[in-house]
Amino acid sequence: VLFKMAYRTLSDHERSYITRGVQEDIRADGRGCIDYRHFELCTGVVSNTSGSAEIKLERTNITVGVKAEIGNPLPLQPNRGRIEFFVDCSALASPEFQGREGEGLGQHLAYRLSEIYQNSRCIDLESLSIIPGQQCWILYVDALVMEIIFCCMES
Amino acid sequence: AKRPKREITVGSQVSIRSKVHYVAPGDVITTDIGFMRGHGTYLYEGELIASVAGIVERVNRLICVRPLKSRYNGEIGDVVVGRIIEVQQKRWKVETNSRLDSVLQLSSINLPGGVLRRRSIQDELMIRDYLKEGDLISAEVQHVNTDGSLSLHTRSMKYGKLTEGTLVIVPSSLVKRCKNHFHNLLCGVSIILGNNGFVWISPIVIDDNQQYVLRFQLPSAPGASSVESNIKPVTRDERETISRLRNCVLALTHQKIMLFDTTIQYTYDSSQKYEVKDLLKPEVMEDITTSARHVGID
Repeated sequence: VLFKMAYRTLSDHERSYITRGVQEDIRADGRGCIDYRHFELCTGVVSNTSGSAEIKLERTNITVGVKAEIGNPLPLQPNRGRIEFFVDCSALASPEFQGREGEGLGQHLAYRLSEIYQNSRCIDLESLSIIPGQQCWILYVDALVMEIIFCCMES
Repeated sequence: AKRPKREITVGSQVSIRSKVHYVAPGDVITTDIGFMRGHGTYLYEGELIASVAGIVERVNRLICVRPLKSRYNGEIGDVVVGRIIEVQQKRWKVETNSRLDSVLQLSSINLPGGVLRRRSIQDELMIRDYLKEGDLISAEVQHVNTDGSLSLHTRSMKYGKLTEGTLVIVPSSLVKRCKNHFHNLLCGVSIILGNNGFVWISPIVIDDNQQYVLRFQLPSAPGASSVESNIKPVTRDERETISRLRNCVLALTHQKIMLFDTTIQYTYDSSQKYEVKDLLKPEVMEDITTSARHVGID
């Protein structure tokens, strides 16, 4: 799913300025290659969830809520719990998301997140198991993209 | 709905040094119907109401509201920084953050080989070698057409194609109109404050003669990129200075302070005690712009 977040042509000189700068570990705004931008993170914003957070990264605004419920584990992985992701790119996030346009990006992000979290080094899914093979915790993670400029995945 | 009761009687006390009258959409400007309605106003039930958020301007019997945030409206003589978005047969279309694309004619640029050279068919065929899509130029507004689009020209040594540096886009209303928009700051960096809100920050090209050669330099072989020409590479210190200046400009924009060389210089000096990457934090932005704020209020 190719999704152009911000499309802007650059001149060759600008391009070479940026690439040579990155080679010297200095980006256009003075950050090094591994430095973060300034962001604000608030927790406990949604009251009827087990846990929630809101992150603001320079005009990209995403709210996440986590609910825990008890259910059946997957037949192929009886010892592990489950995490289900759902990403909703709301229409007010960007003009490109009008109507149902945002669903494609939402599904893509949800798929990528579930792939990442399958790795047991991210989160220990075995600790979510209650009775192996019968009951486990299922974490439903819902992300609502309220405003987006860039770096959706990073946020 | 009830309208706010704040009324402003526009009378003889309106002078250049008087208080600035801010209005929001829906505010009543005056109930005197003897005035002509200008841009940003409308008549409703015998009252003159503002339709945009901005400052009330009165010229004799004409009242209009100048919006705080709008597209760039060009005037003759303005210095602009623009990006080429289209190459047509004898001209280029330039993006200048205005309502319509600006136009740069092939006859309005300085071609290598002398100022008075006639434009030939050869030039038209090689038009992409001079300027192609994505290139940045600094130019002056030559003429405002009837439909509002701008005609640009680069018929001076100081205008032309911009090479290595960074572009910062700010609201055009924050760029103060000055006599000179090209500033070579003491820190070794040159800054071009385009009236349209495009600010270009680049290292200083020392030799004036050399500067002329670099602008519109044709590539050595057909199809070769013009980037590998003999421009000296940007040093790490210059990059840091450029990034610091870029963050200062963004801090001034964030605090809604007018941009001109004094405010930028003050902000740059106050920012020396922080690291470049820390200048992006909101509390640091407030701190470094305090000295510039007093200058910028005028």
